[in-house]
Amino acid sequence: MRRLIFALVLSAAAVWAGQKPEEILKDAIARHQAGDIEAAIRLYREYLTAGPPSALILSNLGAALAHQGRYAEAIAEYENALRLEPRNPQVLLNLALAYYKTGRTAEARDRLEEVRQVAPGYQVTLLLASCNNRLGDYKKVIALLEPLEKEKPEDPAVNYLLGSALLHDKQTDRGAAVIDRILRKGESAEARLLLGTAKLNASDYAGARADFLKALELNPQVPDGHASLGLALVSLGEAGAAADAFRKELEVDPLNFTAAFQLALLEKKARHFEEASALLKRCLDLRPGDDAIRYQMATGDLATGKLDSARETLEDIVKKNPSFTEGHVSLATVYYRLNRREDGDRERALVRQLTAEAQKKAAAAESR
Amino acid sequence: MILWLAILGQALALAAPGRECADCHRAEAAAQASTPMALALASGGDAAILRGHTSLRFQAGPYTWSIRREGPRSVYSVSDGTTTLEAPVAWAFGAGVMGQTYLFERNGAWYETPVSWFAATGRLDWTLGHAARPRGNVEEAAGRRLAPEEAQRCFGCHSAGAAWRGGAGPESLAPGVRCEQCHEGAARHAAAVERGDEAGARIAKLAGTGSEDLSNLCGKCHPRWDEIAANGPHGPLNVRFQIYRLTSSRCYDSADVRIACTACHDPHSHVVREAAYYDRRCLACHGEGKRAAGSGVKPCPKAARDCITCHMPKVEIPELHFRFTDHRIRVTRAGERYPD
Repeated sequence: MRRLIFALVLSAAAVWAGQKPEEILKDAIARHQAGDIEAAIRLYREYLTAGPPSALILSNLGAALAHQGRYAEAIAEYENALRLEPRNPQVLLNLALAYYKTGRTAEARDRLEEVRQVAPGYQVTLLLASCNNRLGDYKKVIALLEPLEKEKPEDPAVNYLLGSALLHDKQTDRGAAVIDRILRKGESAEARLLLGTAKLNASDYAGARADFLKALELNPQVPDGHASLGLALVSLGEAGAAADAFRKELEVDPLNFTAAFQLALLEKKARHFEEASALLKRCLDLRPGDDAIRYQMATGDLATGKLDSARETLEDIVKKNPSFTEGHVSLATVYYRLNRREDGDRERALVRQLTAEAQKKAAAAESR
Repeated sequence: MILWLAILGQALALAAPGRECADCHRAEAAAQASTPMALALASGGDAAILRGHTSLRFQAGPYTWSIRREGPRSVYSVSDGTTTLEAPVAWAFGAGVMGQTYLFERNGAWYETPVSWFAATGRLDWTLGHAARPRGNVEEAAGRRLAPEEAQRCFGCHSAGAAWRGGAGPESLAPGVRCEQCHEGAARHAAAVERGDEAGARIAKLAGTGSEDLSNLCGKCHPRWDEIAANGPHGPLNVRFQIYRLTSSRCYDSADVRIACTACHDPHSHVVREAAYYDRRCLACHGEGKRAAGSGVKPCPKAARDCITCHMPKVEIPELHFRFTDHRIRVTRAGERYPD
């Protein structure tokens, strides 16, 4: 209310000062371009109070707010703009960027899909691929970037993102070809990171560790550098050093999913349940509804005696993923703790059945 | 060094297992004192195996690992021929029935030695999981650094009353499994008995505990079914996790005390090695006339003695130089694949 009164006073003052809305807008844009963001925000708001509603100006206001790191306010203004022009590609892109920066990756992806329909382009595709990469949907990353790869085979951003997705998707040979292209350009942190990822996939943990350390030496801020090093250290049984690496990644990029999730697992293993729970909540913000995260949260609840919460989540998870053995294992344990023996026995029998099936499949694969 | 002397002093003071408990429960305390569980941990100086083996050596690639006796202590060393790293063996884990692994302290952290002593060979060999670990230098070859929580778990099961106050710790402990670890509230019970407080002396009796609850109790140290079912290992390596194997048996019943760990094993005594000893336990369900009792189980058509020799086969883990009794009770078939 106070803000509204303040805006009205300012507006009245502007009118009293004889400034027309167009002049206010002109002034706002000039201030914005000159880098006086605080004044630009004030003037955009004055204009929007006095002048006609405008998606463009609301979007400008959002951009100024985002420039100051005031993402929640920026998102609100972009959403106001979209109410006026629901398919405006610039506003959709700005909103997607704000979502992306605040870790609301799934929402960013959805907006970018909309932008791509009306205004496809290099930047939008790359950002959309980056969202899918964050969400762990590597097949989509590959599908998005393959056409770009043909257009721009030497583009480092495309190559890095595509190479990383191919390796995560275990398409090692194709990934290696992309790494080769990057290496031809000379030594770089990104190239080392990809080489390390390839070695990690091939279970050469010591080799991967060496590459990740080299990548961080070349660029201590290289995205995913510390997180990747952490993964290698986990595989080498160096839990303490791995936790340190994940923490460093989160200092560089608080929204890094791998670092947050892996650190949560380590904290949980060390029975630091509060720390683990906070990290898992952060992960769930990054990947809403992800059952792998919900499973970890449920087993955390189980370990801390929140049995009903654990049961509810686990029942939902196994309903959606009936062959998820670990889910049935934990659910059986919850039922026994709740003295629901028959339910526990039923879940345990399911585990036996699933384990036997998995063993049979493994044996068949082995004999081939 | 002063710290270790203090720990040793404390350990010796508590060496008689459950001294107050033994005042009343003489038979159990006397029998338990010599069991592998009671001897699950010893200081590097006290470990009988190290006192009996004054020079142990193992070589792989460019590295040589050795443990040698120097007066009252054992010294662990690893060398690549140029650089040598040495540390006193702080603790010996395991009574040595199967083997023994060692911990040493370095720069305020605990390290697990990559080599262990094995009873079957009387020599050092790889500690399980260490053979494939990368070793780029003597530092890496020396051992695996344990996270503080992992070290606490090790001491938590292999000793009683381990007190941690930061640093590498523990600051005090009583080596081996003691009364309190299974009988929660034993100290309070003993104190109440001492002052004649009958109500305060009440303590949970474990004798009638159901199989599931007992599995969870033993599972405080012997990995539980859910731990192995969810995290592995899968394949023959999990034969050493008896609770997991037993729980996976067709005859396991979460409410039936006849299949609980203690139906066959008295934790106060040594494990009985004679197969015939277990017949009575098997026949408690599978004996003649049990079908009529509505238990839904059949008597064995082949034999009525030495049941476990067929139904609980031995499975060897070559890396551990040991043949484990598979606790997954079943009708075995010739050439069957190890049931996971």
